[in-house]
Amino acid sequence: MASRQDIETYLFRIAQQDRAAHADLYQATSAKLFSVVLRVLSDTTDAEDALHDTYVKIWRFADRYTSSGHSPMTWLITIARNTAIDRLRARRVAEPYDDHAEFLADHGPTPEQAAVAGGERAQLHGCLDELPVDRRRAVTGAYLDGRTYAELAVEAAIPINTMRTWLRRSLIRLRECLEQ
Amino acid sequence: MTTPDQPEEDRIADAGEYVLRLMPYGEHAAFEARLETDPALRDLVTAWETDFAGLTDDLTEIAPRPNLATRVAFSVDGRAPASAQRVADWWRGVSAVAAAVIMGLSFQLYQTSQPDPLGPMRGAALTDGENLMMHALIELGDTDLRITHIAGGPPPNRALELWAIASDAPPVSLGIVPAEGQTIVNLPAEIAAQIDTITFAISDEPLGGSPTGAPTGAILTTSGMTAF
Repeated sequence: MASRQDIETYLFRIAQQDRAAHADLYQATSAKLFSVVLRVLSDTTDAEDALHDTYVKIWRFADRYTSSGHSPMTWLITIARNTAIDRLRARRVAEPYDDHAEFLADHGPTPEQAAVAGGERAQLHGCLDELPVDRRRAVTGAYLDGRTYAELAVEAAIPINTMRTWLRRSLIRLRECLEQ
Repeated sequence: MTTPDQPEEDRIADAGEYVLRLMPYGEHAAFEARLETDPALRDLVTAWETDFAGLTDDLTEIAPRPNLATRVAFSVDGRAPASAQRVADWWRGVSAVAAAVIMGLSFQLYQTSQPDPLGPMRGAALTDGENLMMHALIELGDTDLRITHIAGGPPPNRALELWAIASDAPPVSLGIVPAEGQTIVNLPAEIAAQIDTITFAISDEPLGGSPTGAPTGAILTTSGMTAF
């Protein structure tokens, strides 16, 4: 199993056009990233296309990783999920997002970013458990399944504005809990 | 609008909505512009991305089909012009519905031309995202691959060649793609037997096809087969 150090080394080499490192990164991470895109898209063919696009983006933008402030797996997961969400939204003929902000570069990590990148994910589950179940379901529905406010509102049988208020308040509560 | 003077709670909620991709499009674009000049806001986005990535630990890892590695390897091949790849990526997303409609239509035409009931089908939409669209259809277990020209063609004095790539073998040429209408290509038995893991690719070649037996020009598109 590839360590954080291994993944970072692959990304560094990919930034130098090392195709073997890109293939190694694919072998080490494709099952994880495929599970992320498949959860968003459900359809295997769409998910494979999204995964393909993800690894092409990784090839092109590996040089942006070091200045992103993320841990390597967070960076990869974020690209994969955003690529899948773009495809999901395009499938629904909604306006697609232009997803280049995750490649923010040339700013360098702030001390806060560097600290956050080493943060503990286990904390999120504890903090999520503190939310009422319907709020928790909305947050995970948005992140893992790519639900929109309209869909979440329909699923919860409440108006969209109410769902938006719920979710924004839940985010604030989560952030307070996570900062403890 | 997200500004440095906003209450921190609003910025936290905005950054969370942005990461969750819940913002309406206009708000999303405005927020993204703000990120360029607001490092504290970028910190919030990074924090949310890091924390939410932990939710993926709940997912069971699933390996994609082996031919996807081949597709990815071909797409990062230096011979593919970057612009064609970017446009092909866009085209895949936007035209998936169109491709499905075309696939459905030619499947119906194929069906009416057959005397016997058809078995499970496999199809691939091959497009470079600019002007080229072909598709390939085969009945599972058969060796006759039907390639239909939908749109586009090679640049002047060039040819488009179709390749079948198994996971562990060099590309096998299936000949020049048709300039119009439909062509039937008889697949080698070992390719037909592995149809679900084959990657199809179209490359830009000299007139008459590759002189070397392997792709020499840009790879314009790759695709695996879909069952339908």
